[in-house]
Amino acid sequence: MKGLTLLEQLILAAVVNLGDEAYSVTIRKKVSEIANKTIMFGTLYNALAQLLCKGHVTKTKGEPTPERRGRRKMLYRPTDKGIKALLKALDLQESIRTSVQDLVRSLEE
Amino acid sequence: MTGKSIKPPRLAYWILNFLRRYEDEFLMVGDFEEEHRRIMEEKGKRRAHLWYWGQVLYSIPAYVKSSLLTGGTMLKHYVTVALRTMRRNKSYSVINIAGLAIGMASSLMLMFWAMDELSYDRFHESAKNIFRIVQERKTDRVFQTPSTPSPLAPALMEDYHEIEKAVRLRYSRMGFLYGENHDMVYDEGGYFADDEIFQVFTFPLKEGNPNTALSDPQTMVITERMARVCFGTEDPLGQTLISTSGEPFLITGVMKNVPENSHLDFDYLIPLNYLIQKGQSLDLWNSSDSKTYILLRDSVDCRELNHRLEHYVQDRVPKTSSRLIFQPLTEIHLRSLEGGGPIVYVSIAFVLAFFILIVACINFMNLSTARFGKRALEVGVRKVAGARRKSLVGQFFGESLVCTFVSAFFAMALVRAFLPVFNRFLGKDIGFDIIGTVPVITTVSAVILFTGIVSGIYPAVLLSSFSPAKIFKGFSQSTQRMLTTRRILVVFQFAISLALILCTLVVSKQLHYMRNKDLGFDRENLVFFRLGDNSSVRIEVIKNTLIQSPAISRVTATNAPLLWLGIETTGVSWEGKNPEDMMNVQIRTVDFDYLETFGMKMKQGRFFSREMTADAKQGFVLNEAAIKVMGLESPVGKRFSFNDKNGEIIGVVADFHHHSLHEVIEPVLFLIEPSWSDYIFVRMEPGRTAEALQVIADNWKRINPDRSLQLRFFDEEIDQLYRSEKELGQFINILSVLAVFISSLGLFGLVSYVTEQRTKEIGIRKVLGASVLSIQLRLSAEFLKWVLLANLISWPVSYYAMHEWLQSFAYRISIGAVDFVCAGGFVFAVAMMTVSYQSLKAAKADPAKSLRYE
Repeated sequence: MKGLTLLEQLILAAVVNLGDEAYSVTIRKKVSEIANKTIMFGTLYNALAQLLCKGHVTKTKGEPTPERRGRRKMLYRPTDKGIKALLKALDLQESIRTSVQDLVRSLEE
Repeated sequence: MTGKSIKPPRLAYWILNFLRRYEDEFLMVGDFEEEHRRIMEEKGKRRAHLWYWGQVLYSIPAYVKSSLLTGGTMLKHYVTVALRTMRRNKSYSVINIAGLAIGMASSLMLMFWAMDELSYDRFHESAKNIFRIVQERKTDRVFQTPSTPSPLAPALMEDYHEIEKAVRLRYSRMGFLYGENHDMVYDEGGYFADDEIFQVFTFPLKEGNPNTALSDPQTMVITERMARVCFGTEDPLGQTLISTSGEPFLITGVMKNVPENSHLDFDYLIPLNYLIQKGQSLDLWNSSDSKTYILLRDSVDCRELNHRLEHYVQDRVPKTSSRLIFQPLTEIHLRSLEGGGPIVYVSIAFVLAFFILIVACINFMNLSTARFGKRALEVGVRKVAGARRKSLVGQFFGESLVCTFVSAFFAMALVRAFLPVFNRFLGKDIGFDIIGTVPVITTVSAVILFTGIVSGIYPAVLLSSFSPAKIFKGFSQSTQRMLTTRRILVVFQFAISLALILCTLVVSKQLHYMRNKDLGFDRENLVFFRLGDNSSVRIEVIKNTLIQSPAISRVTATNAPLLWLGIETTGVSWEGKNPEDMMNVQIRTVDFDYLETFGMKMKQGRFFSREMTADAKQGFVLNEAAIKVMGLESPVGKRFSFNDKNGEIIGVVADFHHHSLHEVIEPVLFLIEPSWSDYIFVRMEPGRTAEALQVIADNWKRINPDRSLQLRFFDEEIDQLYRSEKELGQFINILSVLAVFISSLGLFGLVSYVTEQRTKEIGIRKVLGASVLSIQLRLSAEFLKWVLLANLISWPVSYYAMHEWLQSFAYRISIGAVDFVCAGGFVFAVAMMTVSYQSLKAAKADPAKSLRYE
């Protein structure tokens, strides 16, 4: 199976972070906090669709809330598989980081 | 924060809802709502709205792209299916599309015609403010004439500030010499006009100054057409044209040709001053010989002004019963003074166009619903395969819209192809670019949308609503309901076609009647030509030489072709005339052979005779209409005077129609005045026309070697008068044939659909021993019942319509029951043929085949 893309990692991380309150608006906000950049809703939706398709998250319909003028929201929850995939991706990143550590250090000097 | 203000912009919200690509999966709209609210709280309403709009607009290209990508394959599939069904039902599709195309094309043509009629005289820049003054006279009846006293125009302009300009026009029959040797006569006619004419009417000058062109008496402005004939490619400005009476006129202007849609038609304008210079007085209040046109200032209440100067002429000539009426310029062509006029035809044309369109639309709907009905199975399969209702609706609507669109395309092609024929036929000059005008575009798109949507509504809404299970089980109830609607439509369609046929019958009968009515004179074998100058000596010479030929039976000279208005006057008086009496008579100067040449009859007394020497000086002959106006019991022998000529009435000519049959016969005065006559009428022996024409040509060459002969046939001239009726008659003929054709197509389609539905029933009947004939009768009877009903509906309607139309003719036929039976019979026969063809096919089919499936 292919690994997660950076965007998917970000979103998955946000979903994990948010717990019960993970839905598109909050996810988007969290992502911009983590990565220090905003993403379009469209980008988010497509990435979420990918995650759903791969089975990294599940979605359930939430209750209607007044700030959405009585509309429901779609709540997301990471699956075990999703969490594993995220950890694996982070490991990969970590090892990438280690592999270039010497180089980085030499550049810093 | 109030509830209302936190809402996102409504339009953007609406668009977003339309583009709800992510809504089902992600509940997108709510996200946007929440984000919008957050931005509003943090950064204010403007930023929030801006953001919302940005999101919505930004998503449009992506939406279009993705729907094209995914929709593309679907669309391709739809097109394939549509083409496949079309191919499978070739005859249906051809009938369907052709029917609508023909209907659309013919109603478009009708609309063009009507629009062209309505456009008359609207090209004048101030058309709204121009009025023609019409004089209404009361004798024993009321009649209106555009002839007004010549001093009226200048007097009105002086007395009424509201009138910006007033101009007079007086018809001129002056001919002009042209050609290398000055041997040809140009006599298409023109007007004597006030020099301010160009400030009232919009007749643009190509050359010359409109303000000064007509200020000198011996000048003239000619049209491009006349310039081309008389001068070819030379520059006409500054050249001189010589009239047939030998007067030179300096050309001071060349104007663009008078547009086709102008009620004034002329080839040259000569200043009215010319007449004054010739010693004619333009100050006579008691003779009406000029047309007066006024240009009102903006925002003048024309009705109120009209009311104020109603009796203007009467105040000056107390004896008259004259009343002045303003007639709007744009209505002159449309409404003739006697009532009726082209406006009648314009409304007929619009009604016809509408009905033909309706017939064609109904037909289209009928056929396409029948065709769609067969596709229930397809719908079922689609549903099972997971098609959403929305996409089914879209598919069927799309299909029928495309069909109507294709029809419209063919209709345009038809219009393009037939427009030249149509123009030649109706004597119009309509360009294809009229397609681009607003009313046409609106109509066409309305028809496309209306027909497309209505014919798509059945499959789109009804078929897509069924559950697949129901479809596969077979559903008869709803089909039955649709069938009833369709039957009603067919009845309606046939009622309209029937009404059209009926109207055609009546119209053509009336036209036949008009063409063949005893006009009071013999119109055959009569030719005439214009001598060009009116010297009485020459007339006698020509008459005497022509009469020698055995091919020519009679020759006469007069001042005007019989049917055209010659000179009109009110300056007559008679024994026993009340001072208030007024009579407007047309004057015909004649000679002794006039009556016989035209084959007219005397009612009382006698015509002018060579033996009675006093006749030439003191004799007057009038027509019956004049006697009626004068109110004389025994007119012969009564004293009569015209201008300074006194004498007595020696005879009364039986009434003859000297104008269109729309109009009532007007009073005519005949008198001997050879110096006025310059038209020679020649009656030829029947069957020796060629010989007679040769004789005339030879003689003309001998007497008048330096001019070419312009001969005209009298019966052709008369036909000209009825041209509009004749054209319209033929037009309606063609259209009603088309309407019947379209209706039959509809019936054909419906019958074949129903017989197909009943294939099994027919098979079973045959197996049980029914004969072909009995089955055929069974099938036909049902349809013919509906056609009969159509008859009953349309008879009273068309009777009423035709009765109203006939009222516009002074002389008319009565509508007979025969017409109704004929029309009904015809439609019945057509329906019968259609139905029996189909039912015979069904009845003859092998029952083994029809019963095999199941």
